[in-house]
Amino acid sequence: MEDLDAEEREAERLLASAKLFQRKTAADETFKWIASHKGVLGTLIISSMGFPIRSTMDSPTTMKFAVFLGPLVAKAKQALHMIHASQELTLLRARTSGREVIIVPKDDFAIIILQKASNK
Amino acid sequence: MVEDRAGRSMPPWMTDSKPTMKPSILGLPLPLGVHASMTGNPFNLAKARADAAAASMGSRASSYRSRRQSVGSQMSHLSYSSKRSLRSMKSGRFGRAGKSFKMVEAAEPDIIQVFDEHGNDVTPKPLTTLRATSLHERLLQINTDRFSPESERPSIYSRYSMASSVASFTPDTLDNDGADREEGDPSMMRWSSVAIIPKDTAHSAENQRRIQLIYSSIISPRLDQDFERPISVIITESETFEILSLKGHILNNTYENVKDVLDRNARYKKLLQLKVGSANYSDSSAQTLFSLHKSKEVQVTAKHTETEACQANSWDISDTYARKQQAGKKELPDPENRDSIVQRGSAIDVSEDARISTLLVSAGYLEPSTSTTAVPSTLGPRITAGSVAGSRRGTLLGSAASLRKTLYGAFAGSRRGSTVGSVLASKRGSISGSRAGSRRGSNAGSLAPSRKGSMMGNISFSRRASKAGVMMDDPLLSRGSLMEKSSGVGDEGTDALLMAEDTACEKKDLDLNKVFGLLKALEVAERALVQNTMHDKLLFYRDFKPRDPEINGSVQVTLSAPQNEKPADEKETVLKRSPIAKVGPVKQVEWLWDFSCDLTEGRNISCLAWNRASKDLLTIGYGQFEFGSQKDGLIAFWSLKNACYPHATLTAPSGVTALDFSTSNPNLLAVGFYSGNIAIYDVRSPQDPMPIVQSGLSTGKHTDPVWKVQWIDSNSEHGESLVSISTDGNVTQWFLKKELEYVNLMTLKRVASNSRGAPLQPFISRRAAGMCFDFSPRDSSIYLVGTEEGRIHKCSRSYNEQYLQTYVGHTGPVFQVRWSPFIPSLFLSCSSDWTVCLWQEDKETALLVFQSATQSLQDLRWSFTNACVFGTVSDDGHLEIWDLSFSAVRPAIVYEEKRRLSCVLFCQTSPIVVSAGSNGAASIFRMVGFDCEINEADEVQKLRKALASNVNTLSD
Repeated sequence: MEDLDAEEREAERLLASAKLFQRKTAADETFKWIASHKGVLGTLIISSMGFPIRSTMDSPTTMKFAVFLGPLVAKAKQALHMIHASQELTLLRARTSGREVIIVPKDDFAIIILQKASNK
Repeated sequence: MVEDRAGRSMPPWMTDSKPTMKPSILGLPLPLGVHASMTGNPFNLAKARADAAAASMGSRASSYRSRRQSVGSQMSHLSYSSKRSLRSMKSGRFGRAGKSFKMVEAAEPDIIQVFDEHGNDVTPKPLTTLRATSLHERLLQINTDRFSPESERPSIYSRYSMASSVASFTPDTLDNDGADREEGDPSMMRWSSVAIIPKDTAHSAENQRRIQLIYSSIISPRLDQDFERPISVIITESETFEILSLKGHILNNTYENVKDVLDRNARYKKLLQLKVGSANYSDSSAQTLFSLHKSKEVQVTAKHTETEACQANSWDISDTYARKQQAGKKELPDPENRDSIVQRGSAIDVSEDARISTLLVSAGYLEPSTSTTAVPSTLGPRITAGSVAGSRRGTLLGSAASLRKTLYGAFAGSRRGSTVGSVLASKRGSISGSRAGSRRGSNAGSLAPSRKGSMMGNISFSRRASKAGVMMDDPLLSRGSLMEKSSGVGDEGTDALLMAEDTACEKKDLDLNKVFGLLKALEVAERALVQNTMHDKLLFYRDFKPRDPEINGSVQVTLSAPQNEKPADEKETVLKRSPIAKVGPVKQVEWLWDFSCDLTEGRNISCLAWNRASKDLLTIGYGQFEFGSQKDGLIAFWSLKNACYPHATLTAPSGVTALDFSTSNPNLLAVGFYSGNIAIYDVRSPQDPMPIVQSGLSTGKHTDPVWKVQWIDSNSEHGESLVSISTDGNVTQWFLKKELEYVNLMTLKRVASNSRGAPLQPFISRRAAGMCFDFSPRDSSIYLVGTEEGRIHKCSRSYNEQYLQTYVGHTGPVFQVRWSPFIPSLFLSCSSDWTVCLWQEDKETALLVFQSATQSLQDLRWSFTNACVFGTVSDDGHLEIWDLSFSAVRPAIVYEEKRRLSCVLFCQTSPIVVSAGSNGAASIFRMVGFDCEINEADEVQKLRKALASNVNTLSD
């Protein structure tokens, strides 16, 4: 029993130190800050190959988004490049009746945000 | 009272000091009770009694129990008398007391007792009663049969109603009072006391709830028994006292004077109605003097406080626990594990050095030649369920330990595409895979977990996809199918999915800060997000009319200007006809949002400024106004694109008190600090916290807080120059050369107050503290200065010795003065005397005085678009929008907030007003109902008309 308590304390200490550490990393903070916005259902960063790097959603949803939207981003990028070679895709929005997916594609990664849309 | 019935007084002190007393547990002040144990020192005892006696003449009675609990609260007559008898010089007073007793005794037969039909005593109790205290067990037995309560009760009534004062309204805890006096053997009387003794309930029905007040002699032994004995106290509800009772009168119609009464009622009603619209009655507030406070300061070391806050996601928590478990396993003296840890560390270094794509390449996913080897080996330990891994895991880990130094080479090799490199890379992949398989290094520094997760996801997806017949030419999907093939066993796809669920939530230790461009991308994403959530508000801000759902689809579009003007004009005319009735629905402000975030929380907003070029960029300066609460300053640039987080921030060593953007170089931001410094920042690179130039001791600086800075285009060869004002009494012009150089435009001098009769007193300081200034829009060499003593001076840059004119009217510090943007001879000033004054340049007294707030007004602005409109903010959180065309007596809008407001700002491009204050939030309000003319001349005309109706002598 004592061991268990000690373990728990140790875990709490680790948790606290993890918090302090994460405060220093601006990107992580921003990522979480975005996830806490109103109407955000989930955020996800995928690598250029479609592997999720960070996600706030459960794994099946994460996988679904990563797998389906990764190719979409690539296609959109390519299509835009074909139309305007000098222009770069900065934002991709796809809207359904109740949801909106915001994608910010970059060379190495893409940020995907699933948001509840306030449709009238 | 140590006094027997015949009035003999006996010195109780003689008996007090007998050695039978027990040492006190309770200490001072001593209870005067019978069996509370006393200290052995007679002097202490007597002193304690004396103290208690001196506390109050009206002795407070309480029950035996309560006396035991609160020792110091009671006293009895005994103590009083014993004190006196102790000090013989006070025997005169004692004699007086004895006399009063006698008088009381003579009055005893007059007391009337009332009994109800059941024989209960319902005699009204005196308003002031006394509960004497303490009882003794033995006395109880002795006295109950010796004294009849009937004969003794009156004496206690009369006696104590005179004596008691404190206990007068305490509720009766006991139903009846009785008085008894000890007349027994004097030798029994060690101390005597007034005591209430509940009579034995077995006695008689009449005596059942009676209490006897006795002069008891006190016997000290048998203490233990006494304390053990249960004591019952009966608590009953007290009577209700009515202090004031006003009853309404209802008269019968047949009452003869009913007509008079009705008339009177009607008159009163009429009076009430008159009050509403009458000029004789008006609500107005007056300023009274503050009560003088004398503050004392004490120096203590400041308490060091620190606040840390963080958000934790579910995966943070799960990670931390996983890490903890891992750490627990690390304790084992396993050389293999230790090696793998070290190896993991090197892998982290590698991942930090390389970008994601490079990692992926090096892990062997991008190169077709390596993928075939890498994929099965990576997934081997995991998916083929030990067929390969069982034997291979151990060896691979071992090889990992030996290979860890060559891993960098492995990366290089794979990049070059050499076969050896690819083999090494694939081994590395398998190492990480096996590590994941062994679940020890689940988030072990490299890309392993998510790669694993995504692989599995790919597998499961491709299983489904192949059923659905999705195109297989996508590289991801084809690789998925390849992996499925390579995994061989079909059923394990589901296993893999389950495992993926275990691990996909795990975060890798990939440092997001190292990912190039991620912050920028996150910013873009956040903007898109916020624009979604605040779409309607932004449209409203921009004054885009939302599409009317009723005429949706019809040809008429309501966006064109003339069509819009019409209904607005109608509203305006309606307003003018009945200015009072239509305040609420027509003119109002609607709160849109607050510019605030965690960075700005707890800071005071001291100044606001729009950028001159990009007019949606609101710059906010944060700094405390009070000397005692100074901390570092902050400047935040808020953009409409993201109302939740500032576009950029600048931190400054001192509180920011003034801001202004240059017009000719919109990237130059002049900042005034509480420390008296001036700095100029180039906002094109807000990441750099250093200003281009700043004043300092070498260049000269203000010695007091800078309250305003303003760029002035003086049409000279110097271009724009900066002017600042400070409480040190200097108006200073700064030139931006190699460093800041300054010229004092004016040193403000105190003006002797011209109050009649009062002799002129020498000033302690000859300088007057400047609070604000404003340059005339007509002539950039003329400016106004508002001072702390309540004067407004008109000055010229050409004369730095004397004022051109002085405007007298304010009785408190003038916090803001601003020229009208439409009629250049008019200006407004606001002050801490609660008033706003409208002045004309050539008149030394105010044209109009506006007052509605009841706190000092901190800031004032004219509207940029509407000539008649200005806004003020006050200390008590009132944002007031005045419209002179609507009323010069009351503000068109008062919006109350629960914070101190310090600045207000109108927007040039939209009908927006910004108010900001002490909680670090700048609130954006949309003004509704303030329509302005298209033509500027019309606006001027409107203002002139409004003034003409309010001011008698308006010169040009």
